[in-house]
Order: sequence, then C-alpha cells, then structure tokens
Amino acid sequence: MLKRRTDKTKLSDEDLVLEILKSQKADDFGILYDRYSQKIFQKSISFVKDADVAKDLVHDILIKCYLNLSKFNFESKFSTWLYRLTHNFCIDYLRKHNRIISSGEDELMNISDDDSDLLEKQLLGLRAERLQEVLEVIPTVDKAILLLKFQDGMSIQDIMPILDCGESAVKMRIKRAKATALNTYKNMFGDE
Amino acid sequence: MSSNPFKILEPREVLPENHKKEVLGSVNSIILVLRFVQLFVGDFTAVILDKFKTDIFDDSSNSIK
Repeated sequence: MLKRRTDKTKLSDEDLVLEILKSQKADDFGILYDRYSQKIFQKSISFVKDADVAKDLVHDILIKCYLNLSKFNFESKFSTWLYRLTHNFCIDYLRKHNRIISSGEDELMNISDDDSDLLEKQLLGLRAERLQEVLEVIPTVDKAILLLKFQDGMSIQDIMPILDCGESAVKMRIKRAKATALNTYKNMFGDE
Repeated sequence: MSSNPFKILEPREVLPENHKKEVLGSVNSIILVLRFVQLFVGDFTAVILDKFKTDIFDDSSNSIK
C-alpha cells in the first residue's frame, strides 16, 4: 500500500487527475493539495489581504477544483487550469463583496512598446513599500495582471489562458496596468 | 534598484496544519453524497459492485497497516 502511495506522488498533475477521477479517493486529491494549496493561499492573500479569508478561499477553490475535475479537458497544463480557476474565484469574491474596481476596458492606450519598456523599468525601480501602497489603490484587474507578470514571472503566453484573451489584449492590459500604477504612484508620492 | 519589488512583496504566510484535514474532509463528504445520489439515479448494480470492490480494497489496505 505504501508503495502505491509513493508511486502516486510521482505522477504528473494530469495523470494524477485521471487517477483521482478513477479512484474517487480523497487521499489522492490530497497529493494535489500538497502541490498547490500553498500557491493558491499566497495568490488569495495577494488579492484579499486577509489570511483568514484567504484560508477559506483556498478551501472553496479546492472544493470547486474537485467538483470540476471531470471538466478539465487536458488541453492545457493542469496548473494553468487551476491558476485560472483561482484567479477567477478571487476576482468573483472581490466583486461579490464590492471590493473590486474595474479598469476602463474601452480606454485606448496609445503606448508604444518602447514606452512600455520604460514604464516597466520605472515600475521595477520602485521601493517595495510604496509599490505595496500603489497596488492597494489601483483597480484589482490591473493589480492582478501586474502580479501575474512580475510576481509570478508569467509570460504573455502563460497569461493568455488564465485571462481567456488573446496576445494583443494581454499586452494592452499589461501596458495599461503599468501606466495606471505609475500614474497612481506619481499622484501619491510626486515625481520622487 | 536591482531586486524586483514585486518579489519582495510576495506573501510569506503558510496555511495552518489542520487545513488539509478540513479540505479532504469536505472532499470525502462530497464523495459520499455523490455515491448516495448515484444509488438513486445511476446504475444501482454497478454502484453496489463498485462499493463492494472499494470495501475489499480498503479492508486489505487496513490489514497491511
């Protein structure tokens, strides 16, 4: 029995999902818990800023994950699918609690790639504690995409399936988020 | 500044020890409810046979422990 258990921990995420669907044993799902609960917790905290709420969100996200496992179509990596579920769950939570401020989706951003690179350099040069204050006040959707890009180190291609939008839309959202963050910084702290 | 400020802001909190037990307890409850529902809406024989096989497996694993 111990050998079977050890073997299961070595399965890929996708093979483990198949095993969970087949065995219907909570212990098998526990292996996925061990792999992802902490990441989901940290992602939830970065959204809600409250460890107790985040803990409950992790519970609910993982239960939703379990209930929807049979809908996972294996076209993307399981981690991407779970990341998307987590992202959407947190956004929905904030929306339900009226804590989400959306960005102007239709607002055109005429920022060239060169300007965008400059914005990125400025953004990554900010002091962490001031950046924290900025992230607290910018629209949640802007904050979320900045965290995906700069905290989780995701590429445009990684972010596309999470936000369910194309390459140009992701690039535009990142540019807008960078500009919004820097404008907010200037309003809060001036041009220091 | 060389270090990425976003990385500095990464949360460091960890989940409490008992959290896994809570989640897996909920998963177990869901499994039980689903099996119960299957008894009424699914193939009754298949569910009983499946339950029988599961019990045998659990018994053997318990005896090894």
